[in-house]
Amino acid sequence: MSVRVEKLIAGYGDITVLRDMSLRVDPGEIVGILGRNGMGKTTLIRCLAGLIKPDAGSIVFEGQDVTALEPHERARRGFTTIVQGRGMFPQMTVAENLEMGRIASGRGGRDRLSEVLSYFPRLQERMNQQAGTMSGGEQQMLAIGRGLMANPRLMLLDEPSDGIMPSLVTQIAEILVQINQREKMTIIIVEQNVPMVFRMSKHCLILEKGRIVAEGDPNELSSSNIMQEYLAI
Amino acid sequence: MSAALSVVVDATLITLVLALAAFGLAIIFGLVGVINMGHGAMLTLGAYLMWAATRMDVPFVLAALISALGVGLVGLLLEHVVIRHFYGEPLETLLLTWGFFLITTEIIKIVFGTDLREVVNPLPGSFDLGTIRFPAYRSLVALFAIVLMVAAALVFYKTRIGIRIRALMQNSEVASLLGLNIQLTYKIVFVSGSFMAGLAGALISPMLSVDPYIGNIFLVRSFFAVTVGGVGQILGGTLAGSFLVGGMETVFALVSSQVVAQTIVFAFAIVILRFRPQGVVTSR
Repeated sequence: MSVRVEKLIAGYGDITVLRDMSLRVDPGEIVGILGRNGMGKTTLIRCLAGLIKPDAGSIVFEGQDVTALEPHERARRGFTTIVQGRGMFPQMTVAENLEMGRIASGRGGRDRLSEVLSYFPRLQERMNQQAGTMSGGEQQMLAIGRGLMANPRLMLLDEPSDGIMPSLVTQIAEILVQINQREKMTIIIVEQNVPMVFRMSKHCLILEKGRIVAEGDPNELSSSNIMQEYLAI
Repeated sequence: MSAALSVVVDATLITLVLALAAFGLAIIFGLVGVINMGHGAMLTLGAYLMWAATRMDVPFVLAALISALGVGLVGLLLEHVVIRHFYGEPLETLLLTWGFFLITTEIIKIVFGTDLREVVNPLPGSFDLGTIRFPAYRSLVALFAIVLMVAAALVFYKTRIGIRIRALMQNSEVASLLGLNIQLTYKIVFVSGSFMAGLAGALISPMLSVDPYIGNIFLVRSFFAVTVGGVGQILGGTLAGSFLVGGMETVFALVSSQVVAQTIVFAFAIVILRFRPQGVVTSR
């Protein structure tokens, strides 16, 4: 088991968002988590990344309880998180953003850059450009590439299609699948973009009011009335 | 012509000495967002440690280093015991560092007394370049300030710790998600700023009489230099702000009294901040 979440309860102050959530993700699996706005997708990713401490429950990664660990400690154990809005260091160049990804956790090897650029050749042309001046799609490539620089074993993605041209969304989804296959990396992606998630993942979950209300492969989910009921599709 | 050049030299030297004094504040305020009201006390402490070390016949350079390390250690204690619990809360850190200033000043009075102390100037006198006369020690300190800032620029833009610090300034949450220990990095920055304040106090001490309020002379000017220059612009901003505050004060003092010159400069600084609150130097 790569990730095991047991009876997670989390929120903000008195407001509980995740209610008794349990989840299992196998090594090398891509799990897509769907849900409307405000259903707890981002809260789940932030809990997994360590940005929100849960009120109850546990998060286990590769057999070790990481619930109490800070975000940087999780990163050093192999987590990487691509936040919604991409989280650039806008006044740093592409090369510096990538270097930060390599050195911050101490996990990245010196030869990692060429592998990352093989996934995102467009970044090669932009190495000396300030990240804040790039388009949304290029920034998303940089955010993923920067996360990859640390040789992670688990990638958490929060709405990677947000604000990006549809053609680039397709391209990024294909690259994520390539990364997953080539590096055997576990990926958990939360999204509102159902086609993107269905293209990437064989195992999808639907969140509703902080609970998992349905799960299955894209075929099962799209042939039932679950999509209509919870995602209004 | 010669008189005009002398004024330019005076203004430049004062700018650089002020930049040196303001640098520790610029680091702590600009990089970790703590408005360090204890900066003046750190300068004062550096000056007193310098006085104590040179009285024990410690060589000048070693004494300056010991003073800087001493203040760095005090900064480490302050950060570890108090400040680290209040990052991101500017009002609280402002009040806490003000408390540090008051306590430190009283301790200095108890330990060293209130009499004026003199640190022997290791380079008394002056030298001539063409028709311009340069005060030897002040010129050396100004040169050191330039070297220090160039070195800081290299660290900031060309090293791994520089990349980490810039990433922290621009997006601390993502920096932590990539594996950066935010608390440790804040600590390193705070201690570095304290070290710089101690070093500045030590190097400035031979130019002035050392008393428990020597740091206050530079505290207000340092704040104006950092804010007018641009908070977070620790190199260009500090230099530009120091020039606007220190350099202009020198020029105005020629045609009026020191008090009038200070009043004009501070009023000018307030006008600049009214219309350009981000300071005169900003990032691209």
